[in-house]
Amino acid sequence: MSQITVRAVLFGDGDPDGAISRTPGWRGVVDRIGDALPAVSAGGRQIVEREMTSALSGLLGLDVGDILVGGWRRHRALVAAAHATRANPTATEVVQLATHRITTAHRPYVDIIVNGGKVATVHFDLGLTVDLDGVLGTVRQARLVAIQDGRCTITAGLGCEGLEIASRQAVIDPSLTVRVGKGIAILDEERKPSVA
Amino acid sequence: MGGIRTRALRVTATVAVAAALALSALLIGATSAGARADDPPSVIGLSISDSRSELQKWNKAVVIAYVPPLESLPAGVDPSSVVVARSEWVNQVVTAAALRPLFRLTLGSRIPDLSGLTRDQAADAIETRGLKFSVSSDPGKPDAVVESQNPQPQSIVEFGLGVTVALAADDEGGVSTTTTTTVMLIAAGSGLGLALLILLGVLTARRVGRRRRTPTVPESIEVKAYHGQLIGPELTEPGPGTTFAGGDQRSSVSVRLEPHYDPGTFTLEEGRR
Repeated sequence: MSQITVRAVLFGDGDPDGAISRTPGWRGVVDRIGDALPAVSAGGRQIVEREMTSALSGLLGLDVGDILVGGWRRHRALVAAAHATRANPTATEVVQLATHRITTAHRPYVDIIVNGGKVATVHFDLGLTVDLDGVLGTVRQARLVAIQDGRCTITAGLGCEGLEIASRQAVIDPSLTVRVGKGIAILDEERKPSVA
Repeated sequence: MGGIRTRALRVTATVAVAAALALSALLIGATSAGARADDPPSVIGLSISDSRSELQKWNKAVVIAYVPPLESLPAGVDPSSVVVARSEWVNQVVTAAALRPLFRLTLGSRIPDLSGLTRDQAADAIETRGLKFSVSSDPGKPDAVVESQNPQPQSIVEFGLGVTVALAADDEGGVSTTTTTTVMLIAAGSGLGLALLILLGVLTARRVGRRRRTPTVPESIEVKAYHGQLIGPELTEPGPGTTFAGGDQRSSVSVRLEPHYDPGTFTLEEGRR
């Protein structure tokens, strides 16, 4: 089971740096950065652009599976199943999750430092909306031990300083997205770093 | 022997003056090149007839006023030696109003080369040109000749200007102090002019180089990325009657299995003996 990142959702499996730099919105961002760096030479601006692309690509390495799990820890049916199975080691509860939506917003930013002095800060906006339908979760001993079926539609949007850089929608199989392992703790008090 | 050395010094001085004049011409050449084609010709140094001819070629309606008037030239002055020392276009500003251009030409003489002349010969040459003759140094010997003069030969000056000469005897076996000083001054002036030209050239080259140079390239560029603020993940579940696009509105359904261990029932019957 491979990890699915926001970067992969937005730009596919190809070279993310090249994909970012080819977007029309990125050109506008680079032009604005150039305006903010009047003392930097053309060669220096190319370095800034390259480093910015690389830094942004790194910021998009969020795991979609982690985002889903973060949302599910707040799902009432799953939380109830976790409480119901915690006290009974033999109990297993299968929950068919109603249609639900998980959203996140990230505000990463990049500082540009020239000759030791910060000359600009570039802010990004990353929005992620995940619509899930028909997912079956199996809970045992307050842990989510299996994910089955269902449909997961991810809509991701990336912007910078008011300019849209990329936007894309993808449909994935949630059972292939979330790495369950030995079970994912649903309740906060049950969470242990070694599990999941 | 002394005569040869003196002549050599004169040649040196002439060369130095010519070099200085050439440098000056280089410095002001750009200004002269900017003269318009319809500007009046320069008549400085031309004779009376030549200056009139040149100006009339430029504009047939030109009016020329001579200072002093031609009929009042200094006594003893040969009119053929008179040249224009200064030229002034008096009504240049209003020429556009179709007035006849009026020129005031101040007359004078071209300084002759007095070197080698005796005191009397030099005085005669100067005074017949409407100039005043004076002597700065005189060894008092009858064979003394002019060693140096001021202004220099070929200078164009207005009538009445004084010309000073220094006399030296041919058998003094050396060059007078005045001559040596003059030569040294001229040489120093020429050297200074050359040095100024070189300095000017260097400064201009540096300025041009600075203009062509690209802005200073920053040596260190660093980009630091921060994950920044994270909002969420937030979970939204539809309430009664609401739905997401393409989704259903069923509530979540849970099925719990709770197996209970049943140890069973054991019956023990013992046989009678």
